[in-house]
Amino acid sequence: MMSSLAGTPTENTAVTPGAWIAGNSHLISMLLALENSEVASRTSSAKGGEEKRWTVDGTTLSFVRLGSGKIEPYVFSRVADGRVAPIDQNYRSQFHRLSGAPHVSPERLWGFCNINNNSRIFRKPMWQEYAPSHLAHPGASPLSYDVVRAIVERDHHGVRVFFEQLKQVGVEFFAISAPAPRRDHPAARTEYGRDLALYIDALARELWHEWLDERGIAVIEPPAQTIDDDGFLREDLHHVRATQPPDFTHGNAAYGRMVIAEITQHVNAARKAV
Amino acid sequence: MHPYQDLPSRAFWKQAVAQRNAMELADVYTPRFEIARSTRITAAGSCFAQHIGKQFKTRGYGFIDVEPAPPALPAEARGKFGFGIYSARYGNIYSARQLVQTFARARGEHTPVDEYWTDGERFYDPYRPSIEPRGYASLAELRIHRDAHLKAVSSLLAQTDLFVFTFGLTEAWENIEDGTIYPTCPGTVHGEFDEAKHRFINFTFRQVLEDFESFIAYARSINPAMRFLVTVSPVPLTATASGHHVLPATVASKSILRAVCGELYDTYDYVDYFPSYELVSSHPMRALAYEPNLRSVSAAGVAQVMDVFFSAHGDAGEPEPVREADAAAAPATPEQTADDVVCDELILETFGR
Repeated sequence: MMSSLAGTPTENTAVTPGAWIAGNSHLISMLLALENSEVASRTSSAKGGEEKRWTVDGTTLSFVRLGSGKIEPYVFSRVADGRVAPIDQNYRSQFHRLSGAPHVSPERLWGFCNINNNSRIFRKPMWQEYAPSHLAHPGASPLSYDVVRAIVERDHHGVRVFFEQLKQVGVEFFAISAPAPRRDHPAARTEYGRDLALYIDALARELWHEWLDERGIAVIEPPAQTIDDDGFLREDLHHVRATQPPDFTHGNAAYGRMVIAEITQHVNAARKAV
Repeated sequence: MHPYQDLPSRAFWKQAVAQRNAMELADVYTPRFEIARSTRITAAGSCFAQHIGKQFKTRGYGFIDVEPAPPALPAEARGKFGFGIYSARYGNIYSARQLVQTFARARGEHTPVDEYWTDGERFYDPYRPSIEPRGYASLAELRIHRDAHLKAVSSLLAQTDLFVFTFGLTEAWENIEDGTIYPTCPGTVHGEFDEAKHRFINFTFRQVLEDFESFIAYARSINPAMRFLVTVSPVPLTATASGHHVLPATVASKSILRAVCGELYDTYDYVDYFPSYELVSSHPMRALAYEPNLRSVSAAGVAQVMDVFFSAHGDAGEPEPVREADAAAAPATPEQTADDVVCDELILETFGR
């Protein structure tokens, strides 16, 4: 579902149907898409902050950084006074500055881009010594599906707790997946590494789907056209970083455009349903 | 003059037991040889052996683990899959015969006729039926895991200075065709019982002794300097198939195992015996070291026993973190004790209700 991204800059104070998109560094592809679009532009908040807000196809999207992906396996949020907020002081301050509140405002619709950051799992050095049963090779101890699943679910822990907290306090939200793994990731450059990356990625997505479906939480997956025949993110959708170290995980603006189209479609449908 | 006149107070019941706090018995254990932190230690045995292995690890001894948990596997999930409990993922080894056969399989000298159990969907290793609670997706996967496990086990003895074994049971079930011992009765945890294929065996003193001597001979053929520390599990039988009441059946079983340990100690100067069985189950303790079911050993009981062991070895040690956590959590969440001890017998207990 492609979008023209006919975005228009939105005043910070405008109240337009839309969503707040928060998450980790995978927000970058969406921000690049909006910043590179013809009409969308970054607006400043009334307080001189760094708020990023655009209107796309009549839908307002505001972007907030929630925290680094590295914190996601761990509990990074808490409920206080009926509100969910980041635990870490820096992230909380940043979240406050960007969203205008120190907590996840229950008056807004949220999209959280913090699931399926799966390179965090398949790049672990332990995979040189251990392998899923069907990928077992000399020198690697085989791990059953259940053990690998426990490893993957451990990686989901912090976000699962966060989502449970949001449900607990009544925040309306949906999840946004990170893109498919990239073929150029250093951990995926051998035949084994490639197979492992694809296996872990598929398993993690399956487990997230299972978990989210049980709780009635919608998820926006990478659009099918962003994935090549093997299951990797299409090479032309790779984000290329001009400086070191190179980027091996993120999508580029073209990828972001396709994800935003999915998001706006979802948000509009959600609002119509209401 | 008579031979008792100059004996130390520990030789007299009144001074050594009756007049002392049962939790503060002195000189119950005198180590036969030193165990240093550099000593390479392998552990196997029944449920109670888990505590011994855990203590060696916690206190920084050279505990060998040839099948360590993958680092990314959460600590709370490791026991469920048999990681970090013993020196390999062989699960509970209740009898000397099972121990002998485990190592015989590892060196390719024993191939059981009963290779796998299946419920039509999942496949289970009959010799470690609980190591993967949901079994394997295919026979091929089971074989991959079994072969990797046996290869790891085959490497154990060459890197072992001290082999710690806790005798658990004399009662077992064996395959009629080839005599292979099952750690659990087929049909209880997984598998299906077939009286044409499976039969009950209650090992005699002579059989247990010969089996363990056979193991000693093999182990010392790999490392002639290997020493052994043997104990008897104080955990009673969950159920007996002997036809007797479970209480006398338990006492008979433990008595045989205790006698074997005594015989081994008296015969071989490289075998030591640690009286964990006596420290937990003998009557001066008044069952204080047991949970209310009079079967599970409490966290405090385990701590007391292990303190005796390590103190005797001159290791006052740091406060033992596992014990403290268990003791603190025990009143509110008693199931945590069970969480720390993955025990096939609990499944049998549930099955037997």
